[in-house]
Amino acid sequence: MSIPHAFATRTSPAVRQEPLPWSSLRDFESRHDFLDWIPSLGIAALAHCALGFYLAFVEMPLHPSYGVVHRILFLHVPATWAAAILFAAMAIFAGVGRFRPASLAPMAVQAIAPTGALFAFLALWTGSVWARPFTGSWFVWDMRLVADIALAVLFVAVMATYAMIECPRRADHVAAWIAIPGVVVVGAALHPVAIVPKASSHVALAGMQGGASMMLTLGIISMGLCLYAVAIALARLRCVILEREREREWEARHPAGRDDE
Amino acid sequence: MNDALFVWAAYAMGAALVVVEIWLLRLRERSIREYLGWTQDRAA
Repeated sequence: MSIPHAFATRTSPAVRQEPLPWSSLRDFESRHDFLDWIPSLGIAALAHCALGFYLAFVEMPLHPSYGVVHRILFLHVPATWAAAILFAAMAIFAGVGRFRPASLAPMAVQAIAPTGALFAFLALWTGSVWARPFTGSWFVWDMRLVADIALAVLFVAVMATYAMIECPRRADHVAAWIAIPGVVVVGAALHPVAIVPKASSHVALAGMQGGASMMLTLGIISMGLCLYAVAIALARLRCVILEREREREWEARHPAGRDDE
Repeated sequence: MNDALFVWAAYAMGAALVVVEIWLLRLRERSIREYLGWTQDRAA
């Protein structure tokens, strides 16, 4: 089964007249060495997550006060960190893309956004699960939850930009104006303020009994999620490069635009 | 009980989202490779 792509109706490989800059998939991959890292990064991500969740669920005893709800932190905190790091990386690539629009940096913005949205949504949902027993509500106007919402909205806005704006350069420009100012949200997402006062701050939890191993576990899982995000972003970057090159090739052969089809 | 259920549901949802993301990406890759006629390239 394959998803029919929007471009697939324009022409077919049989009638392609102007070849892409690469003669084959092997040729394409040989000119982009960073793609070789994808399998290694995937395996490393899997190993980190397996080790981290083993420590979290087997080695770590149940919390005496919070019980099993405490387990949600091993997903909530790494997801929040990963989403924030991904947004910061996206903003940096967007900034670089402003100065070097022909580089891979703007394409990296497009490649990072969906995975960032996934982690931001996960952070938001697990944050609600964590806060609910203390507040009795799925959502409170806490800075961290609001920052998680803002991160998710910004990631989705970047994705929507690339979906709606046909010209890649123009979409890069708009996405940069979303990503670069939006980086202030990252600080709010990582701000060590408790979702509920008194006991539920991540920092307070890290300082409790067994806090050092908890921070280590959180760090290992966070590293696993970040490695996964890099691997999947590189794999998506491969698609983005090929799609943009294909689009450029199609535009070269159809200067009058789509109406001449 | 309900709280534990939500915790495990959140973990299951996270795993499901990752699986769906990888699956969609593989479909996207295959779509563009088929379009470019590069599907047999790896086996060659």
